[in-house]
Amino acid sequence: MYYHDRDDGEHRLERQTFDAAYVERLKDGDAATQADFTRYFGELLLFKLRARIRSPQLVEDIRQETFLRVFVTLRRGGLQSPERLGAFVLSVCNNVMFEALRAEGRASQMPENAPEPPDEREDAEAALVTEERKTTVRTVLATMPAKDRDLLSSVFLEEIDKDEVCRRYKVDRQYLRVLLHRARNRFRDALERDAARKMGA
Amino acid sequence: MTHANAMKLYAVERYLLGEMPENEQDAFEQHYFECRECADDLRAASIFLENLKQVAAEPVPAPRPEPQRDWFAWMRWAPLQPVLTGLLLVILGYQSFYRIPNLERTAAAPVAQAHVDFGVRGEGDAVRAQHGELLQIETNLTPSLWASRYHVVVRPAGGGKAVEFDIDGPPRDRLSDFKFKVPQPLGPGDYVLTLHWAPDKSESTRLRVEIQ
Repeated sequence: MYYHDRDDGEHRLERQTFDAAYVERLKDGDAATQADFTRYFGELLLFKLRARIRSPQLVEDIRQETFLRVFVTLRRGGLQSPERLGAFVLSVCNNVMFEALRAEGRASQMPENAPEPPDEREDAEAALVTEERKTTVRTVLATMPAKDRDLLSSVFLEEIDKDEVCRRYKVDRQYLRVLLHRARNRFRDALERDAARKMGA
Repeated sequence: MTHANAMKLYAVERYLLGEMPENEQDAFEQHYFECRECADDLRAASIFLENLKQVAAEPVPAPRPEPQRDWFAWMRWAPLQPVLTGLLLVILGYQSFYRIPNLERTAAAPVAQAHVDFGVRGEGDAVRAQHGELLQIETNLTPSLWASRYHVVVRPAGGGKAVEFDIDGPPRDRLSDFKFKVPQPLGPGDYVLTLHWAPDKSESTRLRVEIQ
């Protein structure tokens, strides 16, 4: 299931299939399909690029260039395998990323201790945070033992070495993975309940 | 990477925790760009973490002080208010119009002192006082009459309501300084004052009192 917020603030539940018809609509410039495409792959590109690039501005530039090249390629000839749309988007993104990093004279992976650039938070990243989601996060945290809450906050808020955090809380890395896994599932369940409730209202 | 592998290896969590080597990272990206289910998992986890960072960075509100146990809360129970108010008025009235004036009259009353030798004079001789006076008995106790506490009964000779009170006995080495006061003025008439050895009151000595 795929949930997202519409521009008018309402929630919608939908699952579109990436098939020949979808790619055809995209190629023909169908506004709704283009909006769905950029919304879905825009987030995936953001998650991928954030895992490798620390500059939000560069992330945003690469995302925009990726979309541009994908649309140009589709309009020129489409895809031989429409069901591989995701793989195609990723390959375009990788090409754009390597070109951008080469142009900037950077290594393909930024060092872990690279200085955080000044606050350049882009809209795409900021859009992930909403008051409603923060409330849901608080609800999820409230269901967790205090130690687990503190552990998660320490790992993702304080930029301390994760092994050091695990030693401090006397847990191993697998515990941390399972903890995040459970928190993520509770969060998604809460979002789904909320979306279903809003659709029913 | 297959979907089953991704699930089994906690790929989403390891990806976000930065635990994957680059080749595995590439493989997982190849996978989640084509797998809706893993993409949704990654999306949920990423949104959770992004909002968690915001929530965790918020200033922690100062802890509210633990509420003190309010032992008197029951007194604020609304239905009890008229009862408590009435009770308070009764107590105030009793103190203001009866108890305090009586104490004031007693304190202001003249004192008639009478020296008595218990066990020597017996009931034969009477102690005399004027109506309205407080009777104060002074005595030399014999060692055989000593007790740490006495119970005193002043009963009208013709019958009626007696005045009763308790007094502490004197120290053993100061038997000659023993004195006590009848706490309220007596009306005119003859009385019998009985000094009981507390607590069993089995032994006593008596004294006649005449109020004129």
